[in-house]
Amino acid sequence: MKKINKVLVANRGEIAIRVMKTLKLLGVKSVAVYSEADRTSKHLSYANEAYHIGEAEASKSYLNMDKIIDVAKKSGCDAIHPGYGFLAENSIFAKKVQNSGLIWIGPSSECMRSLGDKINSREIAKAAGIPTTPGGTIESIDQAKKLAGELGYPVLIKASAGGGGKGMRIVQDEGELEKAIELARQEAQAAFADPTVYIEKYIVDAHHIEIQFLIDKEGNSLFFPERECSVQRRYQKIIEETPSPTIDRETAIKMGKAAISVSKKAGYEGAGTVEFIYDKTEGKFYFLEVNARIQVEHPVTEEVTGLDLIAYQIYIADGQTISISQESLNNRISGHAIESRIYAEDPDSDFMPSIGKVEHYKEPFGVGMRVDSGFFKGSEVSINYDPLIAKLIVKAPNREMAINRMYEALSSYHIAPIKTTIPLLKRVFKHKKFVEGDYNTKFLDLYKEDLFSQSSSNKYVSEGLALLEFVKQHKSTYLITDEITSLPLCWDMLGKWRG
Amino acid sequence: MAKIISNISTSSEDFKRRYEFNKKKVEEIEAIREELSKGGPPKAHEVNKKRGKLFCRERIEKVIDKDSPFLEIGPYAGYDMYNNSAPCGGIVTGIGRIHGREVMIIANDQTVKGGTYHPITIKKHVRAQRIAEENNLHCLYLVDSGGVFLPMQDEVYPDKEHFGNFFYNQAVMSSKGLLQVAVVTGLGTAGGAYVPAMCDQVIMVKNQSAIFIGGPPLVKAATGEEIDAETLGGADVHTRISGVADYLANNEEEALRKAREIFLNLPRRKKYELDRVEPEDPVYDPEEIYGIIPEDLSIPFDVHEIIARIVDASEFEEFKPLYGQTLVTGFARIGGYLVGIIGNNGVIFPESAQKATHFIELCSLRKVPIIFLQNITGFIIGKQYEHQGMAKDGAKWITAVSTTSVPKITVIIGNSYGAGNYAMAGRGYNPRFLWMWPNSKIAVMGPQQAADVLTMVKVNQIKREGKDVSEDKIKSIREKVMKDYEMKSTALYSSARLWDDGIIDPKKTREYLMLALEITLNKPIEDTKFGIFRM
Amino acid sequence: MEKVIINGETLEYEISSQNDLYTVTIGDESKKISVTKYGEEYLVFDPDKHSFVSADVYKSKDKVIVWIEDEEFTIEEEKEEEFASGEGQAENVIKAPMPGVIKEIKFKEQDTVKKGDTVIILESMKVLHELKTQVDGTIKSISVKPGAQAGPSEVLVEIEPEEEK
Repeated sequence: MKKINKVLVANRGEIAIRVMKTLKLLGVKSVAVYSEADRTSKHLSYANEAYHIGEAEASKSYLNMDKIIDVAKKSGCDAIHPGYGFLAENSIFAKKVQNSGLIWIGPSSECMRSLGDKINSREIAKAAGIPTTPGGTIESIDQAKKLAGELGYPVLIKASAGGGGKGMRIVQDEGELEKAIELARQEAQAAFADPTVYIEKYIVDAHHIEIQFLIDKEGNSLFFPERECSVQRRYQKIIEETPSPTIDRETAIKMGKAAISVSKKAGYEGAGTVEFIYDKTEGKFYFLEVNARIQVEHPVTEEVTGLDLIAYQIYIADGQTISISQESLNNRISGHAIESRIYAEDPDSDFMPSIGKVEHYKEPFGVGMRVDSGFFKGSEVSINYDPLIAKLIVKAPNREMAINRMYEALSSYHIAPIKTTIPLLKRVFKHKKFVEGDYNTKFLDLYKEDLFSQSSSNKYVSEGLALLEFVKQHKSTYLITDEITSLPLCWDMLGKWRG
Repeated sequence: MAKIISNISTSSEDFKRRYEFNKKKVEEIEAIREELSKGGPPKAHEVNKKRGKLFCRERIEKVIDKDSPFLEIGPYAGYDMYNNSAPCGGIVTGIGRIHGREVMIIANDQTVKGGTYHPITIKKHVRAQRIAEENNLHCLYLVDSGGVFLPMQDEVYPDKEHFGNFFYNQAVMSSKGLLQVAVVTGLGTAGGAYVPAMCDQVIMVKNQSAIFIGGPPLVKAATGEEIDAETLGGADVHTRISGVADYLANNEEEALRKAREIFLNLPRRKKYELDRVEPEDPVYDPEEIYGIIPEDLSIPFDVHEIIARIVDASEFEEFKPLYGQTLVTGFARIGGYLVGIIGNNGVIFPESAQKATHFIELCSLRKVPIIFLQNITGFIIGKQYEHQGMAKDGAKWITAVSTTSVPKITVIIGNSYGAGNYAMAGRGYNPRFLWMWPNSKIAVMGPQQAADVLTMVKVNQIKREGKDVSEDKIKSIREKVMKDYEMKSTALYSSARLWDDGIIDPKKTREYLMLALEITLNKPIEDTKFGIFRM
Repeated sequence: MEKVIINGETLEYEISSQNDLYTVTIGDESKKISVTKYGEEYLVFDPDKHSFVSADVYKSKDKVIVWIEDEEFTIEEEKEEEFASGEGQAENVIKAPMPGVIKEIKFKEQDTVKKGDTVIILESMKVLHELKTQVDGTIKSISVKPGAQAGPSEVLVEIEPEEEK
């Protein structure tokens, strides 16, 4: 490295660990930060140094910009890597980092600000000649009604500043429009402190397809094979795969080129992702937004290309140029990769977060299986943060084998007693439609009867009952003699007791 | 086992008022204990320090295992007796652990009249030995005593459970394999000489301790020989010449370390393996007991509520819950140990007495210790009950309580009146331990009834003298009698006289019971052979 | 017959064991299964089919979760019905449990009372006993006055129970 010798990772959980692993490979020192709730978290052990930055509440720790910069300066860091979430797409933070003389591992603050605004980013896309979903800003109810009429119902109302599905509503007919706009505005105001909303055509057979790209300071660029992320719940991805079973190579390359042109237009430098909506019925894609950060699902791209995207983020931030050509990248691509997101949520209770201690934890391992996790046995799933326990990534020579491998890996991923998305994911990978590659963003909704609240098959019930008996016999509630003596005596338990 | 569902509302006025009352009561008691634990007057402490000697409580802290419990016995002894000149009775006794072994420690307090034996000191010493013997505990004597308190020799020397009984107990315990160790940190004079002399192993401190049957003044008086204490019976003399003692320590600290070493090299004994599971705290906060005990004990309270705040997970398997409901019996766990519990929920009826007897039989056969939670005003009286044979059923119960061989531990949580005290394993029934809660009362009968009787006696006496007694006079007599009677029924009055092993903070009852249960397990539970049950 | 709840559904079965070889009978079908534990892992063997499968078990106070091959199920043991310590038949009258003196009467005739309300305080054997109603209702009659002597089992108060709604 030329300039970067020590990096503060302003994040927690699996992504902090993921970044630190690469830093170690590059011979760069890493600094972890942690909140009160993370005193014993897994990510701390992957860093060279770790600093306490505040209370459990994210706003008092992982979102405390000045404190984080202060720790970076004091611990002698040259750069800050924000991971994803928290401050990753906060242009003010990026600015502060840059102003403090540290290197920000990500696109410039100005670029982030212009892409962060959805309306503005659509303008940039249009200027680069990339189609965006037909639609526009809402100025008045009447104008919105007119516009919606032109687009044809159903239409979608979205928050301009938003992401993650907040402030997003589908409107089926004109009667619902006014109320939907009002609610979307309120939600947008509450979530992003900006009530601006816009309207766009709602695509029925919609696919979420995105392009990972890299651009260095000299304008060298690479686009990667597309990722299909259409299995979503509440607009949040839970399964991502590459390549997409939906689009052909030709379209993929078109999208890749489009991604590069829009990012260059925005002055992007670093690793990023352009998200598109693909309308399968019409065979058209539309620009959705640019994610100015490393994404949760980046590993699938790494698996099929063998490249370390975090390393490229750091190279570019360090001022180095991309040495690999688009052609040689294309030649590297092989096989099929899928990622499953393991959330501490109960899919059968409307994805309610399942808080508590992970008392039983076993990760799968084997050829073509990768687990990026932030947990171990005894870790606490806290209400304060995103309930993502881990990402399970598999790679195989083809899609069918990748699906089988994923099912296998999920079956040997054992987490208790908290509830996770594992049972749902297993059902998805056994679902005929998914296996055929015939799914879009409505998949979970469309097949909810097959996918939720299903009791599993009962092939091994007898074995289970034998195990129950075995466990009971070998450790009964009423302890056998040997165990009586192994319990601590009350005299041991009470310490310096004086009555 | 079923969880006890509490009916207590912690936000009710009653609860809050009672809570404040009992909390204050506990604080008062604790303050008294604190004061008593200081021992003799400051001046005596100064002298002691000047001689380079440790206070007896410091010795105990040094000799027991670091950060381990010390279960003090009789901390209120001597309170308000002999003009308060014998705090704690001038002796500190209690159970502590030395290298993991529970040991009864008996330590003279040389700051209280030179560690001499008052009547209450004797009683406390004998009680400690009794606990040791009943529970198979080794004994450590920290000897620093000038012998009997001469002005009261008639009350400390001649009787069965007086001074002489010490040595008998030591000999008997030694014969049962209960180690008797003495660290002599001061004088062991006359009778006091025999405490170390009767021990299995004795440690003396150079230039500090001395043992002799007759001290220098007595020698001079008897033979005219002038001699100093060290030359007459010092540590050197006894460890090199006479062989009365075994180890010579250069100072107290060394002596106490030596004592620990002796216990370290004692063969370990296994405790009786009482059925046990992983302990669990009660579901209800034990401190809520403060809000349950009424200020006025004539108001009943449900003993289930108390049990719920003492036993593991507040779980209680009640026996005969529908029969003889004024008595509550059942099994529970304390510190993981299986115990039987007998608690009072009112006056004893013939049915409740039969139920108690039946339950004691169950516990005896299964070898399960019994915890008695006393809040008893007596056995029911009246024609119907006498005809029903209340006395006969009461007798059965008393037979069972007296002859069972399972350990009994008694806590007086409220009233302890009349024959109820006997049946509920009062002091006379040899419970291994007996504690009182601060607000509890103990007397042969309730204050009202006693005052009526006593007033009548007094008034008749005056009348016999031919004097007139006005209503006012009767009233004032009654008030005086009543006040005196009530004072003599208090926990403090009782504990000062060692009718119990101490007054305890109700919220710590569970901890006392946990420690006590484990102490009882040092002795195997034998088969029970009951006496005749009157049918 | 044993009873468990597997993934929320009740299942009845029979099980017998000899060392670590179990015979599980569900309905008419019996199956022999042997279980061995290696460290944290369990090896389950079906001798009839000559098949071995590995399993993982999580055990907590109230449930067991078993993972075998690609199956995961939660087994909860049917809670032993706690012996309902019956309170006996609720009575519409309040009786003196023992002889004593009526110290206080807290309600008057025609008053409505709720289950658990103290209606009368009876002093006996130095204790003030709170006599409570076991039912909701209206007080029909009170047959004693404060200061009166009550005999054992004497009916002191009659209550008209509230109609079941």
